[in-house]
Amino acid sequence: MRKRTTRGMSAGLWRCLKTLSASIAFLGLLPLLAVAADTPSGNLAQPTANHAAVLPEAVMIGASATAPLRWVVGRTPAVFQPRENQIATRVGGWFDFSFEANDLPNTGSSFTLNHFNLYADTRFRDRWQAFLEIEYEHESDRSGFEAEREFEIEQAYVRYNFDENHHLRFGDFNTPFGYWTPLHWSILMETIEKPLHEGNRLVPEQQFGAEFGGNYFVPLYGVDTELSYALFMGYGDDPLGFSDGNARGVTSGVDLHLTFDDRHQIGVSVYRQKNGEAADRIENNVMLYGYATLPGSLLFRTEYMHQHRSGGRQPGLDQDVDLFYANLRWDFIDPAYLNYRFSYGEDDASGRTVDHVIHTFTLGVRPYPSLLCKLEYSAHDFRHPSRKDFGFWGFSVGYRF
Amino acid sequence: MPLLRKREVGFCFSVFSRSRLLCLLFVFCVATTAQADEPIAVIVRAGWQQADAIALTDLQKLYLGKRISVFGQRVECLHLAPGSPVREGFVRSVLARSESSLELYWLQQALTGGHIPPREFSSVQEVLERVRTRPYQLGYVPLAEVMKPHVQGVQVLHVLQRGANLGPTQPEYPIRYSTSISTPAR
Repeated sequence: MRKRTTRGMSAGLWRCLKTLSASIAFLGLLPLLAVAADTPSGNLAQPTANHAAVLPEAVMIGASATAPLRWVVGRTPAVFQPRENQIATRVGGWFDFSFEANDLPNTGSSFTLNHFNLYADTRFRDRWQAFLEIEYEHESDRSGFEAEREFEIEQAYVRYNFDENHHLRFGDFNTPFGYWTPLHWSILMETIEKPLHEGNRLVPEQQFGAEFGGNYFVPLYGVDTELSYALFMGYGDDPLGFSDGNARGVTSGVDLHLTFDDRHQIGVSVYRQKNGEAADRIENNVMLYGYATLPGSLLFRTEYMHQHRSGGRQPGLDQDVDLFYANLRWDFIDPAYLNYRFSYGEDDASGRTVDHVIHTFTLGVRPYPSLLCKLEYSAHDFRHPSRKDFGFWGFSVGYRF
Repeated sequence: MPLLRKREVGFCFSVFSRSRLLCLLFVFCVATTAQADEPIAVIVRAGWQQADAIALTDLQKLYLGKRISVFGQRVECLHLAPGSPVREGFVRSVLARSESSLELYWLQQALTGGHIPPREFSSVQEVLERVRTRPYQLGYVPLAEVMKPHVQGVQVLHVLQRGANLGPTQPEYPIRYSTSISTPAR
């Protein structure tokens, strides 16, 4: 399993400096790419009329009479509306605070800023995109998963769109594996706690490498169907320190999912890596996942993961593991929901593989579109005397800006 | 001996007044408001030859950012701002979502560097003006607004749904919004 060590102050400062310098360098990259590709081609690149007057929130940077290319920065997505010879950057972010406690002896409670996340999304003529996301993360171990406290580059990639359906991206991006892993931000998810496979980080949240992906729209038995795919390869030992996983050497994976009528989805992902934190064992992962929109404002979602382990040298930790969760969300009134999740899996985070069952109950309220409040209780049941059962309480408030 | 004792009189009065009050309230509500489904017209600038009828599923993809071109052109989709009943009807009948789930969808897209949401406008008049004056804009407004005699320079698209080509005046036309029509109470 992945082990996180507490970093010293100097290491933290070094990481902050490295992150900031990489961010600045990365943001400067796109104008160079844009200048290199400053030739319209096809319908995608056709600019409409010059709309410079209709962007009150935008700030013009570097505009001059001699330079035809302008860089526009704004907080709303209106900055991305097509304009002639313009690079547009949208900046935004979110943060969340949470109170967390459990009923294990001598653990106490905590009230912390869990996440502070900033992103900058830069686009040029629908073809080029540079995305940068930096995050401060402070997660406690009261929910039973390892504590995390770090400042890191979450994503930093450049994407090239061949057309409106196919793209290639390079850099540090979320691993396209299942439903939860690529969308793991707590402000997007129904619960405070993560499901077992995500909490124990069986698959890294990010890949440092390249991805070819896209989607097709095909009618299937009269149902409007979207077929999405992604093929990716990464390199775990990222020399720049972007990647934060446990992979060593080359990683690879494929994701394929079908979305029916924008209401139901089924998918399968596979991912292979050598785990550098588990004596270089080979891990072949398969994830089956899907969701269904049901009558009565109900949404059902499930993920099942199998990790096949081989070539390891850790007796007791080299057997395959299976993990599963089923999630039912009821939007009983538009700004509020009730959520129940049943998770079951083989948990080896403590160095011994034990069966772990979690029942998670959440009440979520979104009083304003930008605010999400969650109140949660979860019961953790270990089917082994070596680990003590416990209950977790959490309350979180997330705000996006 | 009185016909009804004081307590019984009070009971009868309270029952009578409560039921009468409810009846009056119901009659008042029925008399003053009525729900009607008005068609929403999907519009482009007049003279766009290829733009004739658009599939409902294509409209959904365009307004969710999954597609950016239609009729062989890159288009800009125009949305009304949240709070408008016309937008509410459009989101419900085209995007098949609630406002909060649409909000969550766009947040998800923003954090993943995904699709771009349509540009929002605060009034129907702004949408009409923009569609009328710029090429390759796609908007939606109440049909009644387009039918006004002074509105010119826009054309209304038919909608294709399950093989049927539906104009906004046809009863099966799928894109509608609810409106409360107030009538003077007599």
